[in-house]
Amino acid sequence: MTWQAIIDEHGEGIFRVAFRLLRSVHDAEDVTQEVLLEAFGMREIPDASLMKRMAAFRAIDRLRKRIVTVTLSDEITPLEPLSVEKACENEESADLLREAISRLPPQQSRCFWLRYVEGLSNQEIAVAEAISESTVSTALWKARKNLRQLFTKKPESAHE
Amino acid sequence: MSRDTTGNAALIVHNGEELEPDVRFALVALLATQPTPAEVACAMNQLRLVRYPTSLAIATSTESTRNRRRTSPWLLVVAGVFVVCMCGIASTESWAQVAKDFSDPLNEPQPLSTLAEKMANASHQAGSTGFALRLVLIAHVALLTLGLLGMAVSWLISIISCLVDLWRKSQSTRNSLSIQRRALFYSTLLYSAGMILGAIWAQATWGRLWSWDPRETFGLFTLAFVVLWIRTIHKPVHSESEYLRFSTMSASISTIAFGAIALMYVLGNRYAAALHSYGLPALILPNLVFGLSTGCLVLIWSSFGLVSRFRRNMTEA
Repeated sequence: MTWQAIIDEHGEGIFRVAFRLLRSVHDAEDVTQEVLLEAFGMREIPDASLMKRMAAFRAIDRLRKRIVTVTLSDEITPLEPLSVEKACENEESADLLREAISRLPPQQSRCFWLRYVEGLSNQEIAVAEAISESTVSTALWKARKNLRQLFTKKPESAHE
Repeated sequence: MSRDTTGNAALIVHNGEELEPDVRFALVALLATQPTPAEVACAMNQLRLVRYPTSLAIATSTESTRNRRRTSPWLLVVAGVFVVCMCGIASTESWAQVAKDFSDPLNEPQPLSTLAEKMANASHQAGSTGFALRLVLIAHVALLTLGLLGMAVSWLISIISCLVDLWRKSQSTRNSLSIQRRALFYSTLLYSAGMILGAIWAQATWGRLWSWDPRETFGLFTLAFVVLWIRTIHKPVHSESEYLRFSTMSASISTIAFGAIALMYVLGNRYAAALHSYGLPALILPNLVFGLSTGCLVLIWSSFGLVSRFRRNMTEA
C-alpha cells in the first residue's frame, strides 16, 4: 500500500475526527500526518477505526497542550438559556467542551471518548486501555463529575 | 443525531442519558463540527505533498541524524589524505614518465585542435610544461578508482543485504539502505568528476574530448546504469513485500553495472587495442598504489558507518 493510497483511503476520515476536536485545519492536518506516519511505521496498516481512535487521542493530547485562550472563556456563560442564534451557541458550547476535555486528566478524557463517542462498553474500554473494569467506571464517573463542574462553574474557577 | 456529510460514520452520542444535558448538547455540537469541503481538499493535498521518508525508522530516530553528522569529518579526512597522496605521487619522477607515455598514444596521433594548442601555449608561458595536465591525468585515474570502489562497496552491501533478506524473508537489513545511498552518491560524484577531468586531459593531449574508445564507452554505460540504480534506490518503500522486490531490483541492477565494468576490464583492456590500453609497465605500480590506498580509505570510511549502525541495532534489539 502506498502513501497516496493510504491518504485516499484513510486521510479524510482521520482529518474529520481531528478537526472535530481541534477545530483548526492546521492542527488537524498535523494530527492526520502524525497518525498516518505512525501507521506506516507499524508492521501492518491498522484498520480505519483504530486509526480514528489514534487521531482522537492525539487530538486530545494536542488540546491539552494548547495554550488556553482565556478571552474566549470569559465571554461564555454556559447556563444562559439556549435561545437565539442556534448555530453560534452550538459552536460556543462545543468550544467549552473542548476546553473541558483539555482540562480532564488523560485517562478520563480517553475513557470519555471511548464510551460516549465510540460507544464501547466498560469491558471493551478496559481491554483497549489495559486497565481494570472498576478503574474504567471510576474514571468515567470522575469524568462526568468534572465535566459537570466545568460546565456549571465559570471556567476560570474550575482551573486548578 | 448528526451525520457526516460524506456518510462515513453515524455520529451518535452513545449512552447519552448518563450525561448532563448541557454536556450532551455540547458533545453533539462538537461532533457536528465539520470542515468545509475546500478545507478537506486543501488538507489532503498538503498531505500528499509530504515527502514520506523511505525508511521511517532511520528518518525519525535522532540517533541516525547524529550519526550522519558524525560521518562528515570522515569524508574530510578521506579527501585530505587523498589530496596529499595525489600531490605526493604527482611529484615523483615515474608519473612524469607516465604522462609522457600517455601523451604519445599507441594509435596514430590525432591532429591537435586549436584549443589544445592554446592550452599547450598557456602552459608553456606559465613555465610549468604539462604539470597541470599531469595532475589532471592523475586526478582522473584516482577519481575513477575512488568512484568505482565506492560503487563496489555499495554493490557488495546491496548483494549481501538482498541475499539475507531473501533468506530470512524479511526486511532485516533495511538499515543498510542509507549506507548504500551515501556510498553511491559520493562515488557517482567522484566518477563523474573523473570522467570530466579525463575529457579535459584528452582534449589537450589527443585533441578531442570524447573518442568512443571501448573503455570510455563502457564507462558511460556504467554511469548510465549507476543513474538507473540511484533511481531504483531512491524510490519510497512502504511495505515489506515492496521492500523485498526493491532490494532484489537494486541488487540486480548493480550487478549489471558491475558486469559492464568487468567486461570493460577484460575486453577493453586485453582484446581491444585502443587508446586506454594499459600495456605500459610504468603504470602498473602507481595503479596498484592508488587502487589499494583509495580502496582501503573508502572501505574504512564505509565500515565506520556500518559498525556503528550495527552496534546501535544490537543495543536497540
